Amino acid sequence: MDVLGSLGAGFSTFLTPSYLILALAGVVLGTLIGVLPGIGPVGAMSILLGFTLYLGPTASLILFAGIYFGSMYGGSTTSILLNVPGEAMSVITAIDGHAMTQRGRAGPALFIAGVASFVAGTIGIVGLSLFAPVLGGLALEFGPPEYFALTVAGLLLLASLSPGNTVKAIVMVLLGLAIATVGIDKMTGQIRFTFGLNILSQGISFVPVVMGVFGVAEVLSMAGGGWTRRFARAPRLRELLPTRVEARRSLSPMARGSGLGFLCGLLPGSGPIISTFLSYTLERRVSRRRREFGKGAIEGVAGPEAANNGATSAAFVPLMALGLPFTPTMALILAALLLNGIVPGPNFISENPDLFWTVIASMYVGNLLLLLLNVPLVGLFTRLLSVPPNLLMPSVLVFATIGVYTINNSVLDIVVMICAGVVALVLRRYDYSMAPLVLAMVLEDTLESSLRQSLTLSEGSVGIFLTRPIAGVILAAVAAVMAGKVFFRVRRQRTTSSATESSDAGESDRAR
Amino acid sequence: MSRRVAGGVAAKLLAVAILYFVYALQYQMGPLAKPGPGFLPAVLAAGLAASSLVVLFQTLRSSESRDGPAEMEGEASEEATFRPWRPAAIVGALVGFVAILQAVGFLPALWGLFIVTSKAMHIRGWARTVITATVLIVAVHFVFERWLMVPLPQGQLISYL
Repeated sequence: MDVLGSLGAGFSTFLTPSYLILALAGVVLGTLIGVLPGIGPVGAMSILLGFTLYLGPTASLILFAGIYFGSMYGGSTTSILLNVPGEAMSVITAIDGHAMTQRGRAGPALFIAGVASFVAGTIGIVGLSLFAPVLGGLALEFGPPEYFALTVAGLLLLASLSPGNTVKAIVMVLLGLAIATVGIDKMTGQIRFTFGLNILSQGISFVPVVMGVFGVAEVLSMAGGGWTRRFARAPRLRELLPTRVEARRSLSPMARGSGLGFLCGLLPGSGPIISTFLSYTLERRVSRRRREFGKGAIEGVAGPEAANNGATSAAFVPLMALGLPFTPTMALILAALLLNGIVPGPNFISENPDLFWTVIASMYVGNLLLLLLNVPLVGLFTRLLSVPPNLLMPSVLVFATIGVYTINNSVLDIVVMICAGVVALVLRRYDYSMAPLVLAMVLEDTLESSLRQSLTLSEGSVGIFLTRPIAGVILAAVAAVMAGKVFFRVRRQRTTSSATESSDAGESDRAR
Repeated sequence: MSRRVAGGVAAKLLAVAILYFVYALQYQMGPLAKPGPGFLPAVLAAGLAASSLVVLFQTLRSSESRDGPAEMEGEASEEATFRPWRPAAIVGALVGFVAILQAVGFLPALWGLFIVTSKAMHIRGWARTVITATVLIVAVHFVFERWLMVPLPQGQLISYL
C-alpha cells in the first residue's frame, strides 16, 4: 500500500470518538504541562506510564504524542509572556518573544509562535510519514556493529551536546549503563550485581527510575527550592493578529526552521533544543534587520518555534524505524510500547501498519487541534499561570505512586522510585543531568548485546566497527563532533585568557 | 560548603565505580572473541572511575581558582533559599507510606501521604487539605479499583475489621 493509502486507513481507524477524545486530552494536558511550571512532559509521561497498560499501544501513543506536541506549544506561552521558558526548547523564544511583549506585541508573538508550531509540526509529520518507512526498510540490513555504533552515537552525542558539563553527562551515561546491568545477563543467563537479593534478579526496572528522577525529584526540588505565583496579562482576541509586515517576515523563518528542525531531530541527542539555537543563529545571519534581534524581532520567534516542533516530529523517526530512542521522551514512548508487548525495530512499521498510521493520523489531527485551541484560548492558559504550583505537587506524587505500583503490583518498584528521586535530587543540585542516565538505561541492552555479538562475529577484532561502512561513518561523525567541541572549547578558553591578560596589562599600565 | 559537597558527590561516584569494578571481576570476562558477562561491566567501571576522577579534579580546581569570600556569599544565599526539611518531610512520608502500606491498605496510606505532602508544600488550611485528600482517594478508588479493576492492597487492618 502506498503512503497516501496507508495514511487514509490510519485516519479511518483514528477518527473514532475514543481516539479523538484521547488526542484532545493529550494536547490539552500537554499544553497545561508546557504552561505550568514544575512537572515537564517527561515527568508527566512517566507518571502516566503505568496507565498505558489499560489503554493499549495505539491509545497510549496517541495520548503521549499529544502531550509531547502540546508541551511544545504551551512552553512558548510562558516564554513570551513572562520570560520564563516552560521547557528548555522555549529558552530561545523568550529572547525576542518577551521583548515583543514588553513592546505591547504579545498577541502577534503568541499567534506567530502557534502558527509556526503548526506549520513545522505538519511538515515534520509529513517527513516522518515518508522517512520512517524508508529508514525502517534500510535498517533491515543493519547488523550488530551498526546497532552498536548507533547506540554509542546516541549516548555520546546526548552527553556532548547537552547543556552543562560534558564529563558529568558522561558519568551519568556510564552510571545508567551500570544500573541496567543489574539482573540476568540475557546472553549467558548469569545473574549479575544482585548482592544476594533475589528481588534484584529481574533487574532494576526503567519505569520506577524514570518516575523517580523526573517525577518525585521534581516534587522534592520544588518543595525545597520554593515557588512563585506568576501573573500575566493575556492579550485579547483582536490583539492576537499580526500585521501584514509581521506575517510576511515570519514566512521564510518558519520554512527554514521547519527544515532545520526536522534534520536536527533525526540526530541522536538533544535535537529539539539544539535546533532552536541553530535556527536563531541562522535567522540573525540572513536577516536584513539584524539589529532588531534581541529587541523583539518576529523572525526570532517564528524560526526557533518552527524548529523545535519540526525536531519533535523527527525524533519519532529513529524510534519507529530502528527501535532506538534518542531522547528521554522517546524512551518513555518505547517503554509504553514494551509494556503493551510491542517491540519496536526495523520491522515495526511493516508488522504494525495499523498502529503506525493511526498514530501518524492522530499527530496531524492533534497538531490542528493545538492550533485551534491554543491561539483563541491563550487567555485561559495565561490565567492558569496564576495557579500556585505547590497545589499540584501532592496530586503528582499520589498519581506517581499509583502509576508505579500498577505496572507490576510491586512495592519494590515504589521503593526504587523513592530512592531514584532522592539520588536525582542530590545529583541535580550539583548539575548532573538526568536525561543521559535514563537513556543509557534503555539502550544498555542493545549496546551490550550488539557489542558482544560484533566481537564474536569478528573473532575479537574491534576493527569491525570501523571497516563496516555504515558503522564506520557513524562513529567517525561522532568523533568529529566530539573533536569539534573540544577544539572550540580550547579556542574559547585561549581567547578568554588572552583578553584577561590584555586587560590586566592595560590596568597595570594605567597604575604606572 | 556547597563545593565541598560537590567534591563529595564526585568522590562517592568514584567509590561506586570501584565497588562496581570489584564486583564485575567476579564474573567471567572471556576472551575478546567471546566476551563474557563481566566484560562490559568492567569496561563501564573503568570509564566511570576515570570520568568521576576528572569531575573530582574539576571541582577541586574550580574551588581553588575562585575568590573565596564572593563565592561563599553566593553559596550562602543559595543554601538559604533551599529548605531541606520540606523534601525530607516528603521523603519521610513516602517511606512511611511503604512501611504502613501492608498494614492499613494502599488507599488509607495514600491519604496520609497526600496530607503530609500538602503540609510540606505549605498548603494552608487543615480542613481543606483533609477534604481534598478524601475526595481524591474516593476518586482513585472508583477509577482504579472499581473501573480499571486494579488490585490495590487492602491491608490487614481493613480485612480484620
